Amino acid sequence: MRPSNPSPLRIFGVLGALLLILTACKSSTSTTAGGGPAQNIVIGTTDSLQNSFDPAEAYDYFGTEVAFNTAETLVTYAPNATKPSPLLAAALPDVSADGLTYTFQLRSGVKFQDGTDMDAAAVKFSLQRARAFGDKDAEAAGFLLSGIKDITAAAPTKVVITLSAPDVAFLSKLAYSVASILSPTAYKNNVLSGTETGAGVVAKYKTDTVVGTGPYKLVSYKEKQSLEFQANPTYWGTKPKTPKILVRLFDKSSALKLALQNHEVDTAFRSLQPDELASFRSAAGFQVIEGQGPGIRYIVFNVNTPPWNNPNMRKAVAAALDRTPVVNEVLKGTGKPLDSMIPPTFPTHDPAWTSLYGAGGDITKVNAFLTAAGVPAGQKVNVDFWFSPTHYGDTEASVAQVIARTLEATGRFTVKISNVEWAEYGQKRKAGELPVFLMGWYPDYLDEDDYLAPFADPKIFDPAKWNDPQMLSLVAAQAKELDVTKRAVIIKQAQSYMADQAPYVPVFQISQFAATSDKVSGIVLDPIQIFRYWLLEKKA
Amino acid sequence: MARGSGGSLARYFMARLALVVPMLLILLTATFLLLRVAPGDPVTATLGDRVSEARADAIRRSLGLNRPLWRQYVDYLGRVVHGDFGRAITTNRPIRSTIAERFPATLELTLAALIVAVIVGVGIGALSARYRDTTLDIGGRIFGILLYAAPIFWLGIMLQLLFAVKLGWFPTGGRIAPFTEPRSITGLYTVDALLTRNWGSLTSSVRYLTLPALTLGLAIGGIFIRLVRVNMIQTLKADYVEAARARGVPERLVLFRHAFRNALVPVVTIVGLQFALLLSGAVLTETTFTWPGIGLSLFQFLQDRDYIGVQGLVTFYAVFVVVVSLLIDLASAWVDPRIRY
Repeated sequence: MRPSNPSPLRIFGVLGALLLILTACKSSTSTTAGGGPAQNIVIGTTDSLQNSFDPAEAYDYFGTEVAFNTAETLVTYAPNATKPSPLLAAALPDVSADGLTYTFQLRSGVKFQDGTDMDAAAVKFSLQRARAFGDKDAEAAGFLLSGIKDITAAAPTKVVITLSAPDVAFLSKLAYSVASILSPTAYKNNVLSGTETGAGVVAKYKTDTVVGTGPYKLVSYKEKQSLEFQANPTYWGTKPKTPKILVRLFDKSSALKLALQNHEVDTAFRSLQPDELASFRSAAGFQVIEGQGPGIRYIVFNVNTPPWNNPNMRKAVAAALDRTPVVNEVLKGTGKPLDSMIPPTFPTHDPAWTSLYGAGGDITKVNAFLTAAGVPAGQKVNVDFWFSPTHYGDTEASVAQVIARTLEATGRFTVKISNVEWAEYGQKRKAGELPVFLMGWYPDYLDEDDYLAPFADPKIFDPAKWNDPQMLSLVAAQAKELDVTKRAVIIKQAQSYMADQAPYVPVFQISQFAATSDKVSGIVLDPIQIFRYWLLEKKA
Repeated sequence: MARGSGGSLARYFMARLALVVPMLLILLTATFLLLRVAPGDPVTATLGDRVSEARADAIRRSLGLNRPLWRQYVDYLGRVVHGDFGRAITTNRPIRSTIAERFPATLELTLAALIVAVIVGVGIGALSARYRDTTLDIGGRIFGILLYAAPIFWLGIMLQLLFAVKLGWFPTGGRIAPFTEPRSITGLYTVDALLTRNWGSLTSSVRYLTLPALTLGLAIGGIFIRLVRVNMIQTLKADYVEAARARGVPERLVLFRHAFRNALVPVVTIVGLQFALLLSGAVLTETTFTWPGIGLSLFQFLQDRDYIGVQGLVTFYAVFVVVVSLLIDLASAWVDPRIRY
């Protein structure tokens, strides 16, 4: 007789018991999102750091987000404001009548996170440092300060900045993270001597942390994984509401969605896809916060490539484009139709494109413009239309397809859609190989100037290769006009002229969204694009 | 006799060591060439429109990409010999730092997966063999085939959806709950938590480790199930097992003391050889579970088209697998006198 052996049933029983023990871990180790003290917050994002978070270099959304929360500028934008207000400056500056000299009085008693005093010398050090990087590194945000001619520390709390030419957007530029005031002690080895070139310039950035006066300190950065912030104990202003904030970096929005759904992150900001976002609108325990975004999407014509060198051909496309299906079908409400290159965020916004070309799909106007361009009645025009499939998110192919559909619906266009990845897309754009293509724009500073100059001035961007003298003179005129009313008139003229020439056709304005646990409050999404950690609060 | 055996072992060691050099050279050359034949130069492909030609040129120079190909190759080999895997374009950091930061996570995952694979593989394989041709055996074999055939990422997503999303028992991704990291000693969170007696961190790290380790472990376990079963069946037919039974040795002792131990000898060798498979599986597992190891880093470099980053990590993988294989071979030869040249 064989000795008694474990029966299959008994073995299954043991395995089942093991599984039960394993799963029992769940109830004993279940934690709140974040796993630590309830008041800490975990933010999830698919953003990544493009270069570094040195404010002199950071020019991407995420790099500037880190800078805005750890360092401060002389002036800033209060939530939902469109005009700057004082921050490290005690008041808005006195501006000379010629618009060239800005005199700032500074707050006293403010210290950097390393204990150094914040004073006029530190302001001079920081702005000069950033401007020097801008001179040497074309990709650094420092170029925004290139208009500064001289900075004088007139007294410990008084700074005088002189510009080489009047610039009405100067205060907006000073509110951008590039003008963060940094500790001269912490950055003493990260200053250009003037002899550096190429990689030598890049090596001088401080890439490991930010030492400013901001409400948070960056205490840990794990490459492509996470950033941990702690409330600055010596902060001079209103103390942040959350002691610790962890920003988790995700590669895919689907993983971010799962993490939020599973309460592993408290807030998902930049960027869930429209479908993913929609799933949180009605889900219990979550809320979706919407804010006006400064980003715009638009169609570009290479105005040097036939037939698009003929303005009437471009106008015909502008009249054919119907923006509503793009916004409703593809964006599912996460964007708004756009009828000017300057979005409605600004009071100077003028719906110039719809004024000239109608709301979209206007066949009478399409036919009229094509006739004026010399296209015989009934003849279809071929449109070689390009997009880049991933750079602007997973919806880009659908955006291109719906745009093509609305153009073809007029019966006058045959659209061929092509795409290449972003790196090659850029090369082709620069080489003039894209006749008609999709692009997007996120402003650097919140001023109309940043929606006009880049599209007119080839030294800045000008993807249409337009380089139009009349537009350039309008851009220059608004930049130096100090009178608000007169400037508004010029800005409207510029929009009308741009619409009339139609090197660009605005398509939609991108809204900002955050999906979050309903325990989190204080999320402000406004066009200035500062995600203010210090306002966030999580209920236990 | 002993002297002769020692000399044979030494010869084996030397021969095996000598084979490493051409193997490494082939791997490094293939890695180098594959990334050079990719379209576009690495800097433009990575940074594209974001940089001016001047800065792109500066980066090319700093990476030595402006030099002739043969010179780049020699430089590359020279750097690898010194443990320098280059500097990633997107992060502007040495790959060595990325490896130092992320390798502990990959090691922790692969070791945990290996434990899962051995428990599942040996357990089910042995039971299938013992209860050959019963329902248990058929179930075990089907289970093993399914595990072997299932793509790792699919298995991971299924476990994630069931145990994390549907049931909420485990987190969907990450390595440890925020703000609960143990003080770093080895870089392996479970070990560090134990060493520092940080029970909160230990619980958290085990929770986060469970699903990724199960995914990777089960995928490898499928191979072990079949291997252990076959070996065990053969061993159970062996004369010495029959002899033991004839002597009246209890079946449990026959099974565990005689058959099981002998059946495991080839399995131990295979476990070592599966290490390369574990590492490649770790890339998919880490990506599925956002596990911050080298595999995820490789995926991120690929996604960013950071060719230098990819080259650095692939080189590290290649060197690591070759060295581990060598050590396993040498260890096997040391314990098993039949392995000789």
